[in-house]
Amino acid sequence: MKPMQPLPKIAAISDRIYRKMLRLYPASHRREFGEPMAQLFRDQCRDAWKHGRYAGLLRLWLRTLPDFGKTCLIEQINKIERNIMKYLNGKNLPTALLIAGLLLALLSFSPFVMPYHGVFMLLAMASALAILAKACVEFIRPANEYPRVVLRTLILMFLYAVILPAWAKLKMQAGIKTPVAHDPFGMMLMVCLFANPLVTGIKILQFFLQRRKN
Amino acid sequence: MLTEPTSPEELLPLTPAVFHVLLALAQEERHGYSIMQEVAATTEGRVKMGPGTLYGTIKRLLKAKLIEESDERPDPDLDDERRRYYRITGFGRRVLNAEVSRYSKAIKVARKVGLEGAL
Repeated sequence: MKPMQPLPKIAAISDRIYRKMLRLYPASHRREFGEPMAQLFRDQCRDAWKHGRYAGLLRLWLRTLPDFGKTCLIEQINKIERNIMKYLNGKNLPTALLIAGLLLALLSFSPFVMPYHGVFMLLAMASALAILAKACVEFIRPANEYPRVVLRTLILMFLYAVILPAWAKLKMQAGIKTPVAHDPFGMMLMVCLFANPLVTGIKILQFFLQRRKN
Repeated sequence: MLTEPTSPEELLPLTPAVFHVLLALAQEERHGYSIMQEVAATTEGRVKMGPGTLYGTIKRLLKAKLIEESDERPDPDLDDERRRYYRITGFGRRVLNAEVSRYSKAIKVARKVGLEGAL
């Protein structure tokens, strides 16, 4: 192995600072490329010192900092994106969203919530958004999972067929007598609810089209 | 995107960083610093990659199987054994060829229309 010349003190300090800065990269990137990156920067420091002494090192830092900032940000964004995709690709996420939607709906019937119309509306909307999120997640899942999508949608439609009239009754009791069709809250509920059978239909169609194509 | 490629054309056009790294590795196996020096030399210093850009590019190229890590050392006595060497894969060479061919076609068109830079 070729013996490397020791770094001058100022270059060694630069090397140490760069190594510390590498901690800003995601851990997985650091594990894989941290050491080669640090080694590369050390080589650059050695060259910069050899050719330009202090000015050379200063130029190297001026070049390295924007590169570091940009790539660090990119790697962090990529990591977040990977985590989101990993989470969205979780097979149980639609079921979890369905359960969350139903629990929120059931919570809205709690005797502690009923006297507060605002809280009731908030819970009902959160429930509707959870089932809309379920539909959105199912939309990006593979088409061959359509039997699970059908099952979840059937359960959802059956339970909301009970929940919706109960909500309407509660609203009537609260003194709001607007027909559902002209009520933004009711319309939002309907959109969130019917997004589910729509997605189910799309998934079934997508599955059979893919099978025909193959 | 450099993920799950099926044909070289799907990966085109290559970014300048990817193109220059592949070009540097098309000649021989290299470690990171050697790639960086080769890119700076072939572009007359116009493309200067920092460690972040270089290893970000290497990461994507490894994932897309355009390059691979090499276990061999060109000359172990002359080099630091901790350095990682990379080499271009067969698929990487095909992608590079496809990109060069794309450039050649563009240059032909540029010559036809009499652009000075292409003459």
